[in-house]
Amino acid sequence: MSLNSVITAAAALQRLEGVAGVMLFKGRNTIHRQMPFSEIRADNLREIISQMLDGYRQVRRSIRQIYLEFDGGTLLIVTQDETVMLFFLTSRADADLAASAASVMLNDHAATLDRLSRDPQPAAQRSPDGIEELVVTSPRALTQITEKAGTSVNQWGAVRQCVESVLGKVMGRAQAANLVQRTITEAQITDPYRLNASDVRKLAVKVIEHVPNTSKRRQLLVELDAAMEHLQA
Amino acid sequence: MGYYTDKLAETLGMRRLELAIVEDREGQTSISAAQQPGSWHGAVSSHRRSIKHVRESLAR
Repeated sequence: MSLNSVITAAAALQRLEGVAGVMLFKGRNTIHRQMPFSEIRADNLREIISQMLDGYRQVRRSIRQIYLEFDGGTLLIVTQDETVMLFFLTSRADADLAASAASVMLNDHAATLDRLSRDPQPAAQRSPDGIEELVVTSPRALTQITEKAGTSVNQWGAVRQCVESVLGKVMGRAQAANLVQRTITEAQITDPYRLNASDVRKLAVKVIEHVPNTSKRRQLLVELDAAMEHLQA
Repeated sequence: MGYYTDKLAETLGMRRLELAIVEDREGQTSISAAQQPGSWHGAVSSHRRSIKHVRESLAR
């Protein structure tokens, strides 16, 4: 099944004023991605958004659109069934226009998107005839975003998952997430994705060191080591 | 939702969420950060309003 027309339509949305990045995905299947930062960071973003939308599905809430304005940029999530069109917008963007264009695009390609798997697909199958889309965006917008997001990133997203999974044995998910956040704030780290590998590890250990019980803490540190072993490349 | 928006902010290298609008079949829920840290104000609407309109009404 050729996805060229879907990919071309998704890529065209990036040419709208103030759009710094777009990503079209269904579950773990990334159909098109053009984000102004690394693949790891974009994959983490997709993973978090998928989890959030799965949460809404579990309570049978049919989400059409989510607009999240952060201090340095905006995420606009437009959904149709299980397919998600994600925009990363600057302050110059017209979010209503982007949302409307995404809805039309998702509707136009609904039949194709409906047949797609939620599982990741090999890149070769996504574009069998090798068509590549060249997307040109404003250099100014990209500079603004890359200053915020950084171009070289580490494996913090995966490390954080390890830390939260290990902490999950002694506390709830929200409590674990708060503890990670508190440790980052205490250490005055503005962007953990920019730390070097050694500092990422130190940060992970520092989070676990907040566990007051000595024997539990020791046990969790051992488990953290084991969980992080497969991340070391 | 705060759990996920914290993670999204961290992934994007940003500090905090300032405004959120969630739209489903039943309508829109919107929240905006108040001046006091940790405080929010918001609205629930059964009508579908434009993002621009919601932003303006929350800014008032």
